[in-house]
Amino acid sequence: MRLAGDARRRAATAGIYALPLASIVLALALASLLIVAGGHSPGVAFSALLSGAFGGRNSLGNTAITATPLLITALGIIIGIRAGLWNLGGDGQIDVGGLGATVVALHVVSRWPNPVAVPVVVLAGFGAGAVWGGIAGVLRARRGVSEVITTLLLSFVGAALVTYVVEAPLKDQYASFPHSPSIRPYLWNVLHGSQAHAGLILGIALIGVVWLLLWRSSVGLDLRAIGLNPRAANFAGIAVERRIVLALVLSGGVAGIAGAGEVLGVQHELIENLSPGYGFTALAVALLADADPRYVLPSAVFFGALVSGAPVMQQRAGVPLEIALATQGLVILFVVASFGIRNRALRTMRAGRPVASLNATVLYAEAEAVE
Amino acid sequence: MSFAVAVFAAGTRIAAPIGCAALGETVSERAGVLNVQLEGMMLVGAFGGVLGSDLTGSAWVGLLGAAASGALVAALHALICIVFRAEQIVSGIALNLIALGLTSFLVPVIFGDNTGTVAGLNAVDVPLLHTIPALGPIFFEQSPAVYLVYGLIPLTMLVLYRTRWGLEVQACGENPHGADTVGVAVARVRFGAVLFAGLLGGLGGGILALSGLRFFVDNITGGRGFIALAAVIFGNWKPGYVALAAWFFGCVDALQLQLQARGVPIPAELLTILPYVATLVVLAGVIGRARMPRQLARAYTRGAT
Repeated sequence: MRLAGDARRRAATAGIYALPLASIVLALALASLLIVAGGHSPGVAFSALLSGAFGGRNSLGNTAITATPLLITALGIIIGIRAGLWNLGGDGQIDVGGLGATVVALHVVSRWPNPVAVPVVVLAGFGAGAVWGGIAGVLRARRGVSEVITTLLLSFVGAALVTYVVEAPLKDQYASFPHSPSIRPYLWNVLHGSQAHAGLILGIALIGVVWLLLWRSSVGLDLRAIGLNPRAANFAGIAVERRIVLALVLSGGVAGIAGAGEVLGVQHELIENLSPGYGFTALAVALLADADPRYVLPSAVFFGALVSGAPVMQQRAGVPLEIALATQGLVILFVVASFGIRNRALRTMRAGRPVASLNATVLYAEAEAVE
Repeated sequence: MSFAVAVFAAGTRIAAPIGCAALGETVSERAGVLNVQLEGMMLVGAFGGVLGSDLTGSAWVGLLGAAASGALVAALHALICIVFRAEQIVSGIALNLIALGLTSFLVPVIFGDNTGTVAGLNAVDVPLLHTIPALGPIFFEQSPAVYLVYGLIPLTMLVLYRTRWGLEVQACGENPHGADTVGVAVARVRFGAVLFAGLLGGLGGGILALSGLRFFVDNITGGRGFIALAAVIFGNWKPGYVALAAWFFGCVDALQLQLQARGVPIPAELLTILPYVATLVVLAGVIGRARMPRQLARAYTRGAT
């Protein structure tokens, strides 16, 4: 018994650090092969990437700017994953969150003092994203429609909505590209010589909030129970339907905060395509962090560096930006494969399940069988 | 051509690639495997189709290449999800990202500065049938690839409902443990089902590229793979209804395009979301009576609960 416990603990500890690192290394190795196939030098490419991501204040700032929405959105996605739900609509929720934030910033708090205006705007972003997530949540809880599909479809709708808004109702008259008028509230700069903004601080604070929510609150306990075994959760008296809606509301809301952060700290106005694929990258961040808020920061920094260093890599080494995209996918692939192996190894040592799956769907199939 | 006929004809044209992919996905999901990377398979298929047509000058060979490319991606997904038993959704998302990045990356590498179009598939009127009023112009004045998709509908139904393999597929999706007990090679059947989805998904992408633009642009599929996934749910995992669902989406998309062209006073961006909203509305209404395969997206481990 004790031996099994020791082995399990060792496997778990090794797994937490070794597997993600090994996955990253493998992914980067494969990316190098791609770079070579394209006729470029991996050495030059990666050194360009590193300097673009970390070489100097401006670069560090860029990495921070990119990592911030990834960090925040990933936290939202983690809330969903822990409840067994896949929120793939991060992009749409970020866009809509930015929309809500902009509307409030322009029409409600524009004359308020900044320290008061900013939280209100962030809250508006949360609200808008929460509504977006909530739609998917209700469809899932009440009608059993997989949130995989609904969050994705809503993502398209949200992006198109924002595009419409910046081209018509909120259009800035003298703009060369469509965007809303500039907003007054802003997030403070945190690194002189760069554009890094206080959204990063907000994100780090959210790490604690999300962790507390999931592991120190009854709501979080319910969510995690649903994620691990929805049938058991149901029989234990947890209001599964309502919690599912709540999970997606929170997940979307947090992503909306990321959107508000983008508008307040980076763009200072609403633009179309506010989220250039952050939703999926944030999923990669969440998965690399093993859906654990405590590991999201390094994961977000990794992907933030990848994304912000990619243009420099293109500039100096001639490697197309899409490599960064492919590398993200490769990292997820290796991470998920390795975690799959690890989780199964752990499971044979004790009864347990991997963190997230479509378990909740079983609930509805069973319910049908009963009636 | 009347407005309605024009819309339905365009709708059929738009729906064909989506329906093709959705048919393949139906079989895979019936077997219990979800392919979120359908979008990626279509994209890779479009790339492979254009490449194949470029290399051989034949669009049909291109379509073969398209199907093969999709199957390659599917094989990878099957390996990760069936052999390593990793989360199907995550693998799907990862493959989507890789497909997007890889295809965009490879365009300059493989096609260089060549921006010309490749041999494609022109619309062919079906003799006699296309003279039927209304239905003729809608269904029988399409690209031959569309006629191929018409044939795939009964073929998929045949395979799923009337072959031994098809029944095994259904068993694996509903009760793999039971199927395993009576000797069905669950892993192998699921692998085959995923490959089938890859073949048809890639084919769909090839049809999209070769009946349409005839060259590859980044992200040419633009989310159609996800629509195909929705169509499978929409169609209650039954090939006939899935095809209908794809057709519905195609027609709504054609409608909003026509409305845009006619200068309807609704902003273009809002019109583009019409098909997605329509799909969501139908999903919300339909699902109450729908039954998804019980073991969809759950890895099968012999002996585990």
